[in-house]
Amino acid sequence: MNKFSFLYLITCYFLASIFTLNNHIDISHQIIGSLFLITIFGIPHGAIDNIILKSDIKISNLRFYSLYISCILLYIITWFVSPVISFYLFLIISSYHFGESQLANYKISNNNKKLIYLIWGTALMSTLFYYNEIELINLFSLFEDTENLNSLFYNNYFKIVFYVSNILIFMSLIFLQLKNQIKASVFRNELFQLFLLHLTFYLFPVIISFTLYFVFLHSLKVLSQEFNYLNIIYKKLSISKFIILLTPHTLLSLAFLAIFIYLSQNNIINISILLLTIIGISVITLPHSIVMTKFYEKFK
Amino acid sequence: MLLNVVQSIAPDNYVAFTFFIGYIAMLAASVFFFVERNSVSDKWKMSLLVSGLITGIAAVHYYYMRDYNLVTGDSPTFFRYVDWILTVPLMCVEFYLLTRLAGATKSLLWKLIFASTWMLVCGYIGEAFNVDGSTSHSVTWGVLSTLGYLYILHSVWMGEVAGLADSSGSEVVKKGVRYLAWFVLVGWAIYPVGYMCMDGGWLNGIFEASTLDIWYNIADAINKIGFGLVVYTIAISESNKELAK
Repeated sequence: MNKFSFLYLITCYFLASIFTLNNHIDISHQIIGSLFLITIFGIPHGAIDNIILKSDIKISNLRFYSLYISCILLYIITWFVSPVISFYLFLIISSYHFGESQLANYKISNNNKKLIYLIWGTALMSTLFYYNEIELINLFSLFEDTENLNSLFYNNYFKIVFYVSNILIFMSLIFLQLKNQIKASVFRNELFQLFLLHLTFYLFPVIISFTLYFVFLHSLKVLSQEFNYLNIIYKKLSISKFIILLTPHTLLSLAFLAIFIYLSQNNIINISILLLTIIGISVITLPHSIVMTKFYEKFK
Repeated sequence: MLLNVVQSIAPDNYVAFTFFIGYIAMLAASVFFFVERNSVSDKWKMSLLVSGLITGIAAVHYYYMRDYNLVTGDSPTFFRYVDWILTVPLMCVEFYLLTRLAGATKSLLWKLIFASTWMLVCGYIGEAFNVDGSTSHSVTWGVLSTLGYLYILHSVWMGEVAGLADSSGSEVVKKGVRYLAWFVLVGWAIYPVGYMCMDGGWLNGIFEASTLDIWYNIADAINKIGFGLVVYTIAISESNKELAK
């Protein structure tokens, strides 16, 4: 267990106590709590992509922002062309990204490590969907423009993905341990973390479940990796300097978020708040995961 | 008395069965640890004595709990907590003894003892004094109890104990403390889960009281005997190392 799992565990205990007292947490409170945590930790973890990339390759600001924004715009266009395909693409990209951030620092020399990253992330996402199917269907059914995302649950294919990916990741971890590519302690830690994820995804509502993972096991971990890396690059980096580095793009992201929420709420753009959130997250995930893949290459 | 009790246990009474097994296993483990004290060097004798005491105290309580359960059919909450309040601080003493050579102080020992006692006293108040199944009572004392648990968990995984184990210079001690930390994380997790299954708890109604007793009995046996066996392995390895020098 590392410090992130420990924080995760404390939050789970805390939430379990709230659920015992109230039986449930109102959806609006879930969203407010989740947005608060994502604003504080989630958004900042992708706010220094420019610094991370520029520390490794020579690229001008203009070129970086042009490429980054082009990537975002291209993905926005695909959302307008085909929302369902874009949604599946988002699931694949984020699965790979989550798997990579989870396993990249283990120095896996296996040729199939990219596949293992994808399997880990797929197991994570499908587990979230598996335990919260009804809730997600109800959520997607709330708005006309998100109803077609329910196609994910047609014919129960996602259940097959759930079983297959979980079995495969379990087998992959055993394989990596047997091949001495990960230590026995890492193997135990990974199994424990998967167990913890299953338990929390089963016990808590989907928004809380995802936020718990995204904030405590993903964003905080990536922030810590970024801090340690920049600490070496800048010789010595203080926490306050790190926060200053994170601030501009975090504020910019929040400003864009606020503008789009305003536009959606006032029917200036004809997209529901839910679809807007999914599009927003997906379009920034794509360039971020590309930058992070480059970043994790240093962990070899 | 013993013969009478044994004869009156129904073959499908798994609660009594696990109480009986628990009692015998703990007793056997105590004998083992006490006898094996002679196989380790002087500085490890105290650790094995404490291991033997943990399982010995538990064996006595299991003897009473088995009879209590057979006569009343109830869950022996009182005896369980008396057992835990004596044995869990002793398990924390084991952490101190293992890291003493790396510089563990008396203050660490008292902090761990206080945290474990706090955890159990709050847990007992939350469970035994909740006659009307009040949720707020259960949650308040549950949260207070959890603070003690989290302190121990933090200390053994990433706090003072973990730091001392890392600086001990012994791979065996480092590995052993990590194994014991797994016992605290996974093995001890059954207790807060069990607490939540009680009246007023979040998971109330998920398990029958008897099912919970079976889980407690199995967990107790694994946690106490397993804990002692890890300590024994460390003591033997370190003693052999000293002999080889």
